[in-house]
Amino acid sequence: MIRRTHLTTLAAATALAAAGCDREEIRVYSVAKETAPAPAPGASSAPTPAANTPRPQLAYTLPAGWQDAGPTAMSLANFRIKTDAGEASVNITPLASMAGQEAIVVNMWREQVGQKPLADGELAGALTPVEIGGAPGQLFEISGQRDGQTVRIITAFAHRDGASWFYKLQGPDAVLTAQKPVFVEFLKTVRIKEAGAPAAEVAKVAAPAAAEPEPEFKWKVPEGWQTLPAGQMQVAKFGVPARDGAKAEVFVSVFPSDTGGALANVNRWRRQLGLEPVDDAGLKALVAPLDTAPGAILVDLKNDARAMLGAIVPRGERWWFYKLMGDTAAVTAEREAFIRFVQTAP
Amino acid sequence: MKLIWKFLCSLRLTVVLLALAVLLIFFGTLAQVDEGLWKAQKIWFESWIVIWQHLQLFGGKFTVPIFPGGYLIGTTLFVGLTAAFIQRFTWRWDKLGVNLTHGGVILLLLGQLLTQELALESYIEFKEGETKGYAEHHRDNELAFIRDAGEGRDEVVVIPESMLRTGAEIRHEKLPFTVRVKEHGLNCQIRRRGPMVDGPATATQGVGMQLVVEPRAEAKDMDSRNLPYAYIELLAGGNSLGTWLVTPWLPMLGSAAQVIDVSGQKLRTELRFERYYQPFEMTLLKTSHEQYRGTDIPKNFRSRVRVVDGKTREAREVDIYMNHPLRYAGLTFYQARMGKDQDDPQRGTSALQVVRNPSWLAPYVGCYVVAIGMYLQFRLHLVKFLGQRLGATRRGGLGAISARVLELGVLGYLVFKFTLNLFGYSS
Repeated sequence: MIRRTHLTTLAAATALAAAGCDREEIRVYSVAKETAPAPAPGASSAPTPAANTPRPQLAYTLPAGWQDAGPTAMSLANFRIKTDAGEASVNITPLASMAGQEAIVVNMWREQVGQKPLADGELAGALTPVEIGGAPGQLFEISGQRDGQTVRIITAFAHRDGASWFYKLQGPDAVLTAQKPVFVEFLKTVRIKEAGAPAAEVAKVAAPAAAEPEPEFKWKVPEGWQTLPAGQMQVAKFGVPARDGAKAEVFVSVFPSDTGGALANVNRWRRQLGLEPVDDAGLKALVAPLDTAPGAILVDLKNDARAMLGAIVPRGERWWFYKLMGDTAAVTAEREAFIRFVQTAP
Repeated sequence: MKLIWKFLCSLRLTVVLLALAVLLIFFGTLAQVDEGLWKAQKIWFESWIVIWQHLQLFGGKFTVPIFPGGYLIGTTLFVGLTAAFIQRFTWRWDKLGVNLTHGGVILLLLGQLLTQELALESYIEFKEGETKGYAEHHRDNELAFIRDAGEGRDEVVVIPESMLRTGAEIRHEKLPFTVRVKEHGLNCQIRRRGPMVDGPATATQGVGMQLVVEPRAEAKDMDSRNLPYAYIELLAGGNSLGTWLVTPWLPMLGSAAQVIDVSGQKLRTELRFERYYQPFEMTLLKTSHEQYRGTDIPKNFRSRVRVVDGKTREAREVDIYMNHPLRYAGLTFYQARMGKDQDDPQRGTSALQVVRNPSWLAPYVGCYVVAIGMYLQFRLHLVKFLGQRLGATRRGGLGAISARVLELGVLGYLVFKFTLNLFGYSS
């Protein structure tokens, strides 16, 4: 009996050892050196040229309650404002000149917080003249939702020596209401002293790295579409023909994953149109299958005068995201051309 | 001791365990609806106790054991069956069937336990002309710190992603710093930092300063994988070297590993898919991807690869295609996916599933043994029954010998055919 008991104990120990092995530990090993892949543009971890390029010096009168948080790779100055109502931040960033592109600047920011882009003619009303360092500048405000949080941003900007200087105040609504007059007064005190490098050069290196080179795609671009410079994380951008003043644009992005799935992407698109997010059931009602690849879907979104057609197409190891967005008339007119374009693999 | 022995050998225990196993499979299958396949497997089957993790009571969070997990049921069943087998084992011809059946079931359970611990699935993904000496896990990730070890070699320290919990501090004798995990997320999307719209960057070093991480819900379906992220602060001698963003997005988008300079000593770091290096290299020479005309239904997926083993000085070319895997160095390579290179549509890509399972024969042998045991048991009873009903057949008679020869012939043929199929020699 004792021998048999021992055998059983041995079996139990074997089973426990087999089932209880722990793989979660730090491992150290040696491998043959890999041939390093060519670093992606903008992905190098070497110090950015900004670190070595002489930057302009800023002079200003720091308002009471503001703390200097020092410069970063992008911003020449950062300040923190701590109040009982919450914390806000201010930064000053030079970018390549965007003179004449004020509408793009404002609309890009509005889109980030789920607001509709301004219609033609609305821009002038959105911009307020403001004095920045003794020179004329402009100021605008946006507020909305981003990542589920209320965001309010007051931005002033001025164009100078081939660069655009942006001054941003961001924080909770209560803090910004109190700090806005302080911010406006602060802008008047800012002085920029060049330090060897022209502001335009500084703007180039301080700005985020340029988009990665676009792969060569053999697009079958519908007639009348105009190729535009692609934005961040985009591989292509097109302008569609205007219809009685109605405009729309097509954006194409490629990612190695579905970037969170159809629901997350459709809700992101809905926010860009100022629509409320939907749940899984709502998503089913919105999407239609696309006869281009297994799993491809087409989404039709509309919010009054603004509309969007979105498509998610898995091809091989990557997911292709297409978006036709703009005025409803232009989106409706280009619907068929857009679907044909999506169905054509580049 | 006697009490424990009696408990383990009891038939009731086995019946209760089998009933619990049925319930476990039922609940574990239902859980896949909400948790997804992989997580449900981890919670219900690859655990000792199934724990209810989100119970909140009186302001505190509790973990409550709610059901025995797969490991507990399997192990107890294995031990109980083994105990009963040992206790009741008697060497008699008429008991051979029962003994073999028991032994086969024990082998099946042991095989499953070994498979659970020793088996590993990974993938090699490469483009035509590309050579790889490692496979990557399809779900797990690791944080790697790589140092030039000289003579053309790298020393790699890898920290499994499971250790990268927010707030964790990780030290290792081979690392010249402490890794403090400031933030960790299971899944994310990254985008370039918008001019001024985004707040201050969490990363103070590396490419992460230019990027914004958008956390995403954990992907639970079988076709998606999570792409996690972590902001890691490195501390050396009480000083912070900075905060880096690490995420598999960076190597996937072609970014080189970020370089950390610690007093002149340079290390590279990346959060990447967990790697398993092999003692040989494999080059994808050519891919063939045929579909039935007018459909997306695959007709023939075929990868021609060259295997070069530096140790054995073996170099050979092999075709891997559907139902024709390559077995080499204890690994099995199956054709899994095909595609085209995004940057060069003329260039084919292929993904091979790499399976290491040293105990892969155990379930087959277990099934053989159980089948033979059951056959012998039923045959014995059938012959006995028929003998009683029809009157005893004369032993050694021509009819009885012929029947025995025929029986052995049929059995031998079936076992032979099954074995051939098992090793891939289908007729």
